[in-house]
Amino acid sequence: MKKFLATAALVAFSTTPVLADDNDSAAMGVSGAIVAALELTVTDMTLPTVVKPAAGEADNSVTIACAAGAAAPDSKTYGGDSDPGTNVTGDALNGVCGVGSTTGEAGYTFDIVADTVSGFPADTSFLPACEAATGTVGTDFACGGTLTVTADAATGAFTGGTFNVTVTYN
Amino acid sequence: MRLTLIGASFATLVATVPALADNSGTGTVTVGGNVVAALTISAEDDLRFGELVKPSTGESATSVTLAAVSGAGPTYTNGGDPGDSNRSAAANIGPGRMTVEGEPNFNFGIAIAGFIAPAGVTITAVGPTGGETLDGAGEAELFIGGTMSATTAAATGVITGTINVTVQYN
Repeated sequence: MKKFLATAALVAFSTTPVLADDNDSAAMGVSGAIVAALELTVTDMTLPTVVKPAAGEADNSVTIACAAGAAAPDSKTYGGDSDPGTNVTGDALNGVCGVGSTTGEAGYTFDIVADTVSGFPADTSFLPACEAATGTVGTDFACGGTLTVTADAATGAFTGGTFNVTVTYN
Repeated sequence: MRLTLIGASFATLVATVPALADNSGTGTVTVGGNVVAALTISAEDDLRFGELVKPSTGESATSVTLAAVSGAGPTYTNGGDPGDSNRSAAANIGPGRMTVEGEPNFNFGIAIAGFIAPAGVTITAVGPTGGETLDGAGEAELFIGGTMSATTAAATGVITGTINVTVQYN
């Protein structure tokens, strides 16, 4: 009886797979990089004085084009008979561009989007326009735009008009 | 008398020994065996997270995730996308790839060790879900994905290291 049991055990052992090395490990390389956040600060914009149209006339407008990250407009253009002449002094004569300054990963470029206009007086509208669709971290960019006024617009200085400028790494 | 006693005693002794004419048997045991190939794993491609934009002050963590599948592209959260397709090129970003060799059609499991990342950065790696099986040639290809996340505490710069991946028959 003892001999029989020993033989059975031997058979069972022999049918078990031989797994001398049933596992293994390897080191896999991992890489990544952290990039600085893109931050934007902007300065306020001032539009030139504009004359509204007389009743029944077409809308008037004034446009300042901005360039090179400068606060001083590159050009000013009146639409219709909106030019108030030269009897206007100070910044309101030529307007002041909004200037965007960025910090982030040096040398990286980004897209510039200006939108979401709000807060302008009734019977006026504003279309922002920045100097380029793209920019480079560390290099200022300027934004101007076009203010359009209708014959129904109220006269007087206004503040509180805003638009959003968004920069995104590209 | 002495001779008689000795003879009787001998005869008695012989009579008490069991008959041994058929006291053993012989059987042939058929032995089966199965020696399987050792399981080995090799790293082929690194796990590359590419660039991740860290969050601005006060913002929640950003992250980039790669699925553990061939050709997986990045998924960013909270503005972590650095843009620029060149920075997201295959050479810079993609899941890790490893090859496993062993016994054809055998199943195996995967264990992935942790990664000690710099302060403000967390890197986790994941393998395929479910059991893996070696193909008929005893080979399998594994893709390792994962997530790299960054908080405002993260320093900018390159991150490199290794993760140990272990496979074992199951």
